[in-house]
Amino acid sequence: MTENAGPVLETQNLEKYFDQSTSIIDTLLRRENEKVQAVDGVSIALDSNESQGVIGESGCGKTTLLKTLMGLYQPTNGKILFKGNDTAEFGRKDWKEFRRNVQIIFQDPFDSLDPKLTIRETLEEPLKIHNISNVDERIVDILEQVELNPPEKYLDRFPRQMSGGELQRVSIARALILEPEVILADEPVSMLDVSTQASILNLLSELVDELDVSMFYISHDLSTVSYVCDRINVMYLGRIVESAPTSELLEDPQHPYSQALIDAVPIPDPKYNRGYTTLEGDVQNPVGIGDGCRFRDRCPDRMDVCEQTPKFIDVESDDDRKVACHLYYDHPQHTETAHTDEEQQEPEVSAQ
Amino acid sequence: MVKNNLSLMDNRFANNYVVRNVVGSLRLMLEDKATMVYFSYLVFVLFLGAFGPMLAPYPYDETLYVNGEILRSAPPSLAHPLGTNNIGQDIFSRLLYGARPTMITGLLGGSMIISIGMTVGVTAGYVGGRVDNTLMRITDVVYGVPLIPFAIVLVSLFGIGFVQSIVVIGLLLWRGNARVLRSQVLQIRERPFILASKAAGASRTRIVFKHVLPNIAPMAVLFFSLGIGFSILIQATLAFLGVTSPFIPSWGVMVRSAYNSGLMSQAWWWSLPPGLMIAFTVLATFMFGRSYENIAGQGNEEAFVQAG
Amino acid sequence: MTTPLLEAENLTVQYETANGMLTAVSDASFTINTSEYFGLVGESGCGKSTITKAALGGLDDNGRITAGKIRYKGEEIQDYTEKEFNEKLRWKEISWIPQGSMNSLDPLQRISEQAAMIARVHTDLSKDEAVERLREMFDIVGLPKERVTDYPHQFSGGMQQRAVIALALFLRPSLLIADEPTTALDVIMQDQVFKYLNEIKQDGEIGMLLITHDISLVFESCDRMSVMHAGQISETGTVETIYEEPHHPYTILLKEAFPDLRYPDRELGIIEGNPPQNMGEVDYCTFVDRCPWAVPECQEQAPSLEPVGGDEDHPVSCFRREEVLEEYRAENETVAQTGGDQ
Repeated sequence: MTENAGPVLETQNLEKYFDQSTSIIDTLLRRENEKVQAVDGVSIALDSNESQGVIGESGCGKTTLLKTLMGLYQPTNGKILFKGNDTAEFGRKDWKEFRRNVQIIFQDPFDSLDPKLTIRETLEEPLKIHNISNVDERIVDILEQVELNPPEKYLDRFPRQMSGGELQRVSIARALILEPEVILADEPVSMLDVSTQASILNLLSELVDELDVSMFYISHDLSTVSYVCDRINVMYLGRIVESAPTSELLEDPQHPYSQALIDAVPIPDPKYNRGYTTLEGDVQNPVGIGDGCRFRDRCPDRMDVCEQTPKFIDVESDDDRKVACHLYYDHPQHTETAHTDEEQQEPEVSAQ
Repeated sequence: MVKNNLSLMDNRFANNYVVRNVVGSLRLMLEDKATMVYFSYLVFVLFLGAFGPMLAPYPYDETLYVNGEILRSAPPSLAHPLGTNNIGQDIFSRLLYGARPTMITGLLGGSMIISIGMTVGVTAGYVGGRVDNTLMRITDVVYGVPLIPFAIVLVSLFGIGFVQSIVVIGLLLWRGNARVLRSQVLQIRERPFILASKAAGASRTRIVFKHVLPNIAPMAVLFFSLGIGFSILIQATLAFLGVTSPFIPSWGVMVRSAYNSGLMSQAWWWSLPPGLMIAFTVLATFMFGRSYENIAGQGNEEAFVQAG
Repeated sequence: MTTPLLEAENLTVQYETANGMLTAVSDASFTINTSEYFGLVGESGCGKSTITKAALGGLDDNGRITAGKIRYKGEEIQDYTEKEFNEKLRWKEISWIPQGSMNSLDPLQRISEQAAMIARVHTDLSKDEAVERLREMFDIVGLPKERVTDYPHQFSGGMQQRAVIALALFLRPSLLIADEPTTALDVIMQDQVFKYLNEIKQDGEIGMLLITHDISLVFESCDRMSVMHAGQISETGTVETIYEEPHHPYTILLKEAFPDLRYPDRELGIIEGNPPQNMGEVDYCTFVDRCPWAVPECQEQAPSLEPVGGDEDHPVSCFRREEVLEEYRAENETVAQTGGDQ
């Protein structure tokens, strides 16, 4: 594997389609079933020491994206680059290196740790796999870092003897014990109580800063994502529709969907009148949905041109932001590339 | 790679991990009254299997004489608590001797069933894909085989014998275990703690041995104990049909001899005790399996959860 | 003073467990007035769901009300039998949207059939009348009227939840108890549901008891609220009072722990520790181990709900209720500003 100064983890036009279950009759008739387009051309780049959020509603493909990034799913199309190297070309040694450097934290603290193992054994496992010595010392260190004090108190406990917050700290400890470069976090606080949630969020953002880790943080909850992420990607039906630095996205969302999502978050203030969402309907199933803007059926600003897939382009005033919406670009200027050829979705991004 | 897998089996792992789980489940069993009763009964039968022959007042195959005459079909008396059979053998002694082959049948049959069933089920469930398909189709085929006729055919092929009759049982009865364990594994392998382990780079072997197997262990215990029961039951059936060695005095063979002698109804002391022993033992294995699964399957935290 | 719609007075609910009597709700009192939306906020396991179950006779087999009273429109209901609950209260007076209720629809029956069945059991409406009323409710919760004859699976998650609400409302109850009605839904769906709940509120015919862990939902949609911690009611008041003048340490800290999208840079407050499991009699403040302002007295005695600053409508169960907020504000001037002045 060669080192390179670019993003530590990057996807280029990543696609992950799933087959629907095929019946015997379909096979006999040679009928091709429509694919489930769970992740549909996602390009994001995570720089070192950066934390990016991917937010979207359930079914938008964010968990599939995470699992594909982790190498649990084979991408259908597109590339995943780890430090500039394509994971498709990885050999055994490269994978081991990848596994050491990319770790994951899951949503459900009560199911993230093997119920049959003590905390010590859970934390020991990654170290053993990667033949790292001074195991005991490291385990104590990491438990202190995730503020489980004194560590000795927790070492021989089983998951069932601990609270959700404590378990989530152990999950974080397990993810960090190999000193990885990237953490993938799948809604790590959504199942915790508010009082615990805040401490886990704080811990996570502190540790990410201190330990020079980059993080992809996946969530449906904008209000928590904004506390940990520098940048937010809004995902809708398999595609990233907007990407912007956190504060800019919250203050001035460009894509109608981002707008709707932000407007729908309740505000803990009885005097603040936010108004309820005007969106109707529900997210479609991502099955054989063809071209066009994924959001068009629910979009308040729908135009005829939305039948074409919008390109993911820089927002004019600000080259740190990107949006995939026909409202934001001059069409004649882009017609050359804007026609919706299957092969050529979102060409600007792959060129980046 | 190989070294890594071997290290799974190293002393520390075996000592502390396996021992801990075994001790833990024993403690669980003893806490629950019903489970403890069934478990103690099984331990008692095991004890008979081990020491029965030593406790027996007479050798099992000795023909007893009283005043130069064979003591045929004597009803229970102080000297012979369960009487004698038609060739003058002491039934109580035969019953004690018979515990051993019966227990061997149960343990051997049960182990075969669970080991084949678990290997097939876990492999199919965890590896998935084509392997899964192939293994499950084989299981389906085995499902289609009628047990008793097949056993009779196989035993006549391998020759009539005690071990053969057990092997036949083991070769067929794993099918149910394989199916259920496979579906268990299918659920477990998608759970986050397995994915986290994968993400850390754990090998397949490590995941299976360290995470999957311990988590299906309660179910495996249930199936092992059901397997013991079924093996005893079916071996008794085979014995009754005459497709096992008549010279090894298992309880099934005793019932058959009683039947063959034509004294089934008169000499109740001959047919009833082995029949009851079979029934109780099989029942105990079934009930033990069920109650163990119940207590191991859920913690006592349920009431606390409800309070929310 | 008019009779409150629902009133709990010194309510204690206990569960019998292998380890003894688990006290889920301890000495809880609150009132809900006619056509008022009332929020009950607390973390998981604090006993908020238990209160609703007690009010509807739906406690689990091992749970029972061991002390106190629940009154509905002035009538004591804590000793009602299953039959009385069914004949007098459920559906036509109090209807309940349980947690995860989208899954409570019978998948094999059309929604209209389910409505007809509920109507047959609890009222003497004819089938047509029942379906007609359901149609009206469908309209109110924003579902197309003609879809009353659909099967549950033909609806998406958010629509199913609205169908459940329509079913809960079509017999025109006076009180709707909603237990985490939107936790399984995405934000936009949640917002749609609350939009319709808010519209129903405008008619002024129904009161709601909203049980949730999400304090912002209560702030947005309720008139009054109680905050609960580990079986005890910490504080009750109008949402404005609780927002501006929280006097119980738990309320103060809970509010600060809650993320506010308007201030993404604000440091989130943390509450140390975990709520206790209360076994037997609760003769202490359940928040004592987590409370930075705790004094020895809090260990020795359970504080009762007493008015703070002489305000009868703002009872707080804390021995130091008159001083904690000031101390807190003095310690954290900046936080108090963003929290209190908006």
